[in-house]
Amino acid sequence: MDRRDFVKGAAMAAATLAAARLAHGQGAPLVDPPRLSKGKDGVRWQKAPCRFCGTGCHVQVGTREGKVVAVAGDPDAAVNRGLLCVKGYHVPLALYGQDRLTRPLLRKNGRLEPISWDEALDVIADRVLKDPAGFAMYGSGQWTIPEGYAAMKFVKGGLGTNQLDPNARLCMASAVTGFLSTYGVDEPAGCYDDLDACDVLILWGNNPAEMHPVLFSRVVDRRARGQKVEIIDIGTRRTRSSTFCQHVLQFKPNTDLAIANGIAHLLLENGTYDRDFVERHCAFKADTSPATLHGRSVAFDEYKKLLAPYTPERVAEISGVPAEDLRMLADRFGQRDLRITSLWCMGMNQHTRGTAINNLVHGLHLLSGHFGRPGDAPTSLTGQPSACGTVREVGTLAHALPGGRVVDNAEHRAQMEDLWNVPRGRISEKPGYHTVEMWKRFSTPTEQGGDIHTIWVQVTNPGHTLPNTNALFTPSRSLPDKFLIVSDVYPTETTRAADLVLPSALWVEKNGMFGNSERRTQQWFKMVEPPGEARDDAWQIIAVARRLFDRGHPGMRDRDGRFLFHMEKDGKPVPTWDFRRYYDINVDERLFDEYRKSTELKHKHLAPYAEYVKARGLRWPVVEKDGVWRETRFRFAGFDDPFVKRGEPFEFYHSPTKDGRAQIWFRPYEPPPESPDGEYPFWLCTGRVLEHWHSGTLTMRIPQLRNAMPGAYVELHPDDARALGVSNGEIVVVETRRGRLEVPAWIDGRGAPPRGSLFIPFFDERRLVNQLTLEAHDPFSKQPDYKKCAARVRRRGETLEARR
Amino acid sequence: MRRPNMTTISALVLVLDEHPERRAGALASLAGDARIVIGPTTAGRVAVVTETRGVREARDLFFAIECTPGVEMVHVVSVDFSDAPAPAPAPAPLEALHGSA
Repeated sequence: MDRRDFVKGAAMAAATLAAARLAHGQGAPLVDPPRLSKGKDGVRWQKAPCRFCGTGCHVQVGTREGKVVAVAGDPDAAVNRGLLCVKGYHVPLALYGQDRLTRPLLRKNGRLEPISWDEALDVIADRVLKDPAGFAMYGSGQWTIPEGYAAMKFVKGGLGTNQLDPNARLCMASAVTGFLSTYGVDEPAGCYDDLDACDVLILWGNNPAEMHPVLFSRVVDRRARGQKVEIIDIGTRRTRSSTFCQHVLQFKPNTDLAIANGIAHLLLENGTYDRDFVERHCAFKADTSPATLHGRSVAFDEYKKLLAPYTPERVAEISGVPAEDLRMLADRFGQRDLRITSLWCMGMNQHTRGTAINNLVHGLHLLSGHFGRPGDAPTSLTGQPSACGTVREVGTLAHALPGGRVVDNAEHRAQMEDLWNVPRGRISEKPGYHTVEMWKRFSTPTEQGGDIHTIWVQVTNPGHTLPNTNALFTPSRSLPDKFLIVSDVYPTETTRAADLVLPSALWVEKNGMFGNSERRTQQWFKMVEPPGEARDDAWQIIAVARRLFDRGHPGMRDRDGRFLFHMEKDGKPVPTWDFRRYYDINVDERLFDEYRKSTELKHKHLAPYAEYVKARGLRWPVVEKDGVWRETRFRFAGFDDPFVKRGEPFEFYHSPTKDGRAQIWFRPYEPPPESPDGEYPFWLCTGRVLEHWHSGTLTMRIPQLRNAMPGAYVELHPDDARALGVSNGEIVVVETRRGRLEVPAWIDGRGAPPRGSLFIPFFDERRLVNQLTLEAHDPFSKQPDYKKCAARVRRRGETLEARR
Repeated sequence: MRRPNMTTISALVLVLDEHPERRAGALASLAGDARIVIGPTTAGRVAVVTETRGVREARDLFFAIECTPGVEMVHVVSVDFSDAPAPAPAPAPLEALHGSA
């Protein structure tokens, strides 16, 4: 038997076992550990979470002679039980695009020219020292937990400013404010186990068949095994997920709030809400004027009165969803014996009423008592691998500190100053700028109030992904005193515009930790070397901090005069700022074990680093009992959460009203900031596709994925295309009040938008749809709305006058 | 018959449509492709191994299988590309954007 026959035989054995276990729904791993070529030809297998979405699948990565040569689903991972989706299938290839950035580049006379790391560090230090208050960092949910923590400590504990925000502001900030104003603490109470137990799955503007396929397949597989699972799609356009749903409810953009209020109204009118659960565990809230995140407490009778106008007929008129479908939804929520899980992601979060709709969906689950039993859960998903771990838990947001703390709380600041051993008063009480504001100020001349002079971007691509880039990003590039630093692995729209480009290590080229959508913290080790002079993002931060230390910046010293990132081995300092010595110790372990001390305030307890080395992730709170570290699947539920008072079935122990109660909100439907009109008659929605992840920086370099989905397009309804005289594949011009884009039309495409609406995916850097989008944002989360604005379409070469 | 230069071997599990006729149609369609080896079927799940000339063809085949009538979902179990050729060059438009670098 030659090697190929051996590999094929092993592959068939693994697939056969997986098929059998999938068919019978066994809780056991779906495949055995990989044996593709282990031991025969030197392939070494190690675990890592996938680099792409927030699902948090684990892969087994096979390396040989310093290169990743194989990948397999990790059979020991509870998230994916040995299976992967198409992006995970190709994740290792993301390392090997031929245009990896391998040297620092500095713009000189208009050209990016190679420089040394030493010079690059000096350039950054110069920019900080010019005016530390105007120096900002912009990161993402693709930062590992230790990287995000290092950035947090550098900016908030070192520079003493709070000018740090992540791109996660653009994708899940409304989920955060929704959790905070409902439960008093962030992140979902349930977990993926709910998908194995629910009777009804409701997708709120969510397309998991394309965006979180491994999760969605858990539900579809149950149904294929003969289990009864009803899937209901509530969205503004049909998606691939719609084809798996028994009910597809299409609503007019922005009217999801009316639908949620309509369901609550029917639960009260029909008397089918869970009176016992509500009386024991909930309280009611409504908006103040002007509206605030925590609103005002109201009595049940006032709540009922506020909902009264949301009759099925009125809601049908607002939303376009037939009254009988609204009654169907209310009927499902009214049945106590059903288990209902709601899923959402960008559809609800990228919304100028994002916090409000998050509140309302939580409220439906609370009002109906569909909460806290396996299968009964309102669960938000994330789009990036560590949006939860790095952004929400570490707190790399402009207002936040680690472990659920905030900068405008003196006690919280003092706690972090003690943990970091920095002088009292080091952390500023003034929140930094949220993403839209940070970039707006960067694109505003200094003399006109543009007080951000430098932004250091790591692990994201704002030139591509910010809304309304013509206003927020592009103007900065022609302002002489504005300086853009970008750490990345490949050229992007942002590096193209940068003044200084730093080459970064990617995924298994460095140690790392992610936190996924179900509170699961995951760890991996470096497996291969990064190319050229590419280096870890955390090292870059520590090296800049050290350069500032050497040049006398007082913030880079702790109370004892030691370096802010002082680390020792065997009692001797380790110069981690020297990359040749960076891996003398496990810097990730040092940073994580320091960070975990901050996590108990909000009961987000983490285990020591060593526990994550052994596990395929653990869901917080993780508590030690009798020497065993135990994770928590269902927060606030007495049968599983160790922090619920003994004997209590539920306890919302971080209640915003400090009485153990979750808040059921009334938030009114309001029209969006921009709607179609005579001049711009279409709704424009943007989003993602199965083949590409985020701005396509990685997936557009994987030939198979690029080949499958080579470029962006605009989806049109056939009737609209006919009326415009547009044929399939024809280049059309899409315009909004902010910009224009030429893009091919796709009629009868996969998304099938309803009449009067358009959809353009955002992955393609040659067709930047964010020139068109709106920077209007939610008042609490500051998250912009990428899902709806007014647009018009015309054939290329056709003038507006001719069309009229 | 063995095909030359086969470099990428993938293990997949296909979830088939619940209707027997569409299931049979899917299996018949897949069986006509020499790159696909069909394994046992268990309650609508069939094990499949594909062998292709590199990762690009593997990916194209993945999508072709996914689009086959009667196939509801495709799960990936493993992929071995240890003998695959060097990665493809960067996409031309991306290179062009960075000509100054």
